[in-house]
Amino acid sequence: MDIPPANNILWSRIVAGTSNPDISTLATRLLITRLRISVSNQETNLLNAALELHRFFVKNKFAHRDLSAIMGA
Amino acid sequence: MKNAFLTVEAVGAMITSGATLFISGPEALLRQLPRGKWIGGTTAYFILEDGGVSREDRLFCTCFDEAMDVRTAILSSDQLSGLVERRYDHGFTCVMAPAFSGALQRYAVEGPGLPGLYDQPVFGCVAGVRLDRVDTEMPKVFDGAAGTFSHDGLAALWVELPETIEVDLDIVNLFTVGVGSEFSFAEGGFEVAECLVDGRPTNLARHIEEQGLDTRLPLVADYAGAMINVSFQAVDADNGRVRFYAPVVPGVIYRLARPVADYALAYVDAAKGRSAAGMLSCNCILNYLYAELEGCSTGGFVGPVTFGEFAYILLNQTLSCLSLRDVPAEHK
Repeated sequence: MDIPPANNILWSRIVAGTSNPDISTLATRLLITRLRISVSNQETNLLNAALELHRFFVKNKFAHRDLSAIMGA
Repeated sequence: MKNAFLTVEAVGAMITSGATLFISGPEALLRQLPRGKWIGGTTAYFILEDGGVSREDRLFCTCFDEAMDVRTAILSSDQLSGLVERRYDHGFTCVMAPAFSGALQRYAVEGPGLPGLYDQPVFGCVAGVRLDRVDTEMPKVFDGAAGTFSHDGLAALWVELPETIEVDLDIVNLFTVGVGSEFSFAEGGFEVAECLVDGRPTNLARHIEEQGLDTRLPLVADYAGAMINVSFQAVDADNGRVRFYAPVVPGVIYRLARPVADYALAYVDAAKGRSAAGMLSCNCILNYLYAELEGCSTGGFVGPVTFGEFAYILLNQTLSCLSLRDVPAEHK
């Protein structure tokens, strides 16, 4: 399954908390929450948080088991 | 990867043979071990296959036969980024931090934001002491390669694995978000005074006293499907202060946990579908105490009982579990 590109709005929706896919991987759950907290506390902006989540999926094969949930959310 | 509950002589022999080990037990035994590829941390409590036990004549050790190479260090509070920077391209990291230490407090607050932290498993526990010696003994961690120990640093064991082995790091949290009030905090940390209770500014300690809340239950937050606890250490209603075993985080909504009816049964349920005996798990001393796990088995999960656990971040009242397995053929 191909990873959606970094500019796909689904990454922003997840870190904004407007999309809540059913994630199974602990690392992915913790990262998403960390990014949401950072956005909420204005430690980072939505674009950078979305880029970080995309980078995580590109780098880590183990996270790909959640790709279908991410893309279906 | 294999677990064993051994005498100091037997563990010493394993170290001398070149084994890579993650060791928990009494300080007096850890001090006797020879140099080698291991890190250790103090505790006197363990969960074995037939139940929880407090022993001072044995060490719980996990041998990582799969390791291709290892590094060890004790990192000071100012060196915690090294946890990520010094890891191998493929592997995992085991950590031990002494309870109440500066390194633990700093990692708990800053660790979750370390760049790349979630790219590779970080598993571990918080070293403790016998509960009747909390005021007289200090928890310690050991770097077996350097032959050093610390009461204030974080011991790390970086393990390199072959590409054919993958790591599974997960948690078993018996607590779920309850149905009571929402708690949120403008400022994070291990100690708080004020918070918002259902959006209203409130002194947390006095609220707990007035409402008669059971602080054996942790605060729980939903981290995108993972239930993450923050446990109460002390409530001082006179001075209006509450101290926790992990920091509360601004921007997170917490609720007091729903009570667990039968801990032992819940662990058996949680173990279903897993080969719990083949895992290394760390369980929390608060679960050991409140759930009366001494002599009581926990679904096959075995390992040290400690003053906190790590699965990437610091956890409370949670079982963290690590296992290694062959990469499935379709992923090779």
